[in-house]
Amino acid sequence: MGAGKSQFTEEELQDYQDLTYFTKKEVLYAHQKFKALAPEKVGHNRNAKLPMSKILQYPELRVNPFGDRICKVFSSSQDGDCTFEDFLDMMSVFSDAAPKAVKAEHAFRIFDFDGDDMLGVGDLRQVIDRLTAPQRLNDNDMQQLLQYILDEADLDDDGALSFAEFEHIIEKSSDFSKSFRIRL
Amino acid sequence: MSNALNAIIPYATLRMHSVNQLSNEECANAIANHLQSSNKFMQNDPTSERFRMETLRAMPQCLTVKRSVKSQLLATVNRRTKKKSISYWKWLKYNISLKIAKIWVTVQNTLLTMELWHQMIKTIESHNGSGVATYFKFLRWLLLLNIISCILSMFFIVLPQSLNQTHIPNNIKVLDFLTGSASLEHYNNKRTELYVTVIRNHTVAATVIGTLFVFWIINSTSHCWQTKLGEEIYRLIILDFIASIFGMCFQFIRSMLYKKLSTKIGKPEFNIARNTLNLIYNQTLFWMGFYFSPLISLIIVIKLIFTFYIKRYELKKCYRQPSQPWRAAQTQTLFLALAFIGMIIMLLTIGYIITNVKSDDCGPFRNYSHTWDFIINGILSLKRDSKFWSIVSELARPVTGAAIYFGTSETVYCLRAKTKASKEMLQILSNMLLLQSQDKQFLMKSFAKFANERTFVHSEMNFIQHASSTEQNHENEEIVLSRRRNLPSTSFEERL
Repeated sequence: MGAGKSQFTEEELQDYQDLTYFTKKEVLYAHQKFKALAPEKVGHNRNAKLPMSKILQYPELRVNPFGDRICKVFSSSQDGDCTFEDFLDMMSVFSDAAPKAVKAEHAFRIFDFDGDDMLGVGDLRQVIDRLTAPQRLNDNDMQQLLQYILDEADLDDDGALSFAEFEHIIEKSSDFSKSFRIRL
Repeated sequence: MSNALNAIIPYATLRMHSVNQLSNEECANAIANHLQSSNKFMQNDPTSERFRMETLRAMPQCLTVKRSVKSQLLATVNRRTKKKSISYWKWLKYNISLKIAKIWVTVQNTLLTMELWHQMIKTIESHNGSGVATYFKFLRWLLLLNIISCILSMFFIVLPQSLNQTHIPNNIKVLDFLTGSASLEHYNNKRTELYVTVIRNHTVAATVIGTLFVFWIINSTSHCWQTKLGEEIYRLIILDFIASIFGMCFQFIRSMLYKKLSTKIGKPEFNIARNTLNLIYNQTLFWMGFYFSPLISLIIVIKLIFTFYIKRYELKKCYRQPSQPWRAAQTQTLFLALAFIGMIIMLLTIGYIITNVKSDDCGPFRNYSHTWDFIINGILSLKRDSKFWSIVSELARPVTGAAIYFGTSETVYCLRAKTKASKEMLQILSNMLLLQSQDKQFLMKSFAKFANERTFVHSEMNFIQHASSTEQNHENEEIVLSRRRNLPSTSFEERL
């Protein structure tokens, strides 16, 4: 309530509007949400860097099994700590307006745990483990599931999904953009 | 958009960040340089400006990089052309079109969330997979279809009739029999299982409905046979509903037993095929009974709503996760096709009844020998100059028919051509993907070969150096150097 004046100049807001999928109003709203995570710190410096643990308190991220991965992918320092601009980037990619291609690119990064630009068996295993979180698939089921995924998606039979193959699968699932989103 | 982007900045991707360890500034400079090399991209007009912004927005880079690229591009554009701001009208136009696009997205979103059972089906889809959700979506679709026919029949048949007090359909009777439900079979191949279940259940349903129809058409001389047929269909629908309630109790007991004795009894699995076929059977019964007893539409709507909640409850409490992945899209098409076939057969049968089977001494058509005669009489008794007559005669003209036929054929042709083209494109693209990966493998192999050769040359060099005397040293080094020059040296190798 205290801040009568916006912490941003008109030019900065214009920049944000041009570079993200948000309007100026939505940018300000996003900042409010960001500020709510650490009112003291952000009130002092609007682009303060918040530790990953703080960012993960954002309701949608808290319940998301990939919350920490999402933070790491969008963090400009790559350690999961996010500034407001990183946060804005994140919300923009997860917004409804962001096109499928942009979402797919980031989804691939989120799932690529080892960062080798391929979704290998190890990556897929981690993805599945996180999705089934409280329980764990037994080895047999896991093996079978991995086999199904690779049978369906791995067109060149190299035992891993490249970005092209991943995109191909995403193209087929019409619901992807609807599920890959976070409401601001 | 993404294609256009790829053509402009092939390397602007987040994914490669581990390979090219560029700082934000270097990255921004590289992208800006690359973008500036395209003349078309750097025009100073609103379209180009918008394209630039969209490209930047879609770029998977962080905001800092994007902002730096933006300012560089802006500076270059301003330097290249004298500054010329967009006219007020153009600015207004762009702003309005942007606003409209935004509103459209919001409306679409709201409509989507307002869809019946949207959230519940989403939850089911996330917990039990898209295959199970197919069943519920199909159920919802049928429900909406039946609600429409229910409203139509209520307003145009039941209400006028009850106001007129001529003929009130009275086929609500106490049920007199019950049957059990089908048993399970096991197959290795899930697909075969699906098809076998589909064929078996469909045959059973078709036999039941077919026998019923043939029986009553043969016995069409008996008193009020239409009413009796309507009653029987009604009974079948109710029976089916009771069977599904009993089925739920049975599954519930089974899952309780499973919890107690886990190893002896397998936890039941939701059989998508059987459940969906049940829906189709139900729907076929409805289409058949609707002609004889319009009130059935109301019963069907209520039944479908109950079925949704019963199945949802069953799914939550009793079933384990489906063990096999499900090709939701293909299954959906198969089910729609089956429902469509059921409807066509029913239409043909009812058409036959209307035109060829004698109507008897009860019901609204009792004064006519065939129902069809009623329709003919009704049309003939219309006044020549009435509006309805002119519409009917207009519709009945060959030109109208030809136009409709032509339009439909054209649409079907276009859609078919589109499907074909998409299929071909898919083939081409997957071939391309395959080829690319083969290229990659070939390159990796040859790279490994060269790398091996190089280590071999190194060891050879060491060996030669050891063996050579001082006076031969100079000569040998020359040989080795010439050999090394023949080897391809790439920056990639150096990095390794």
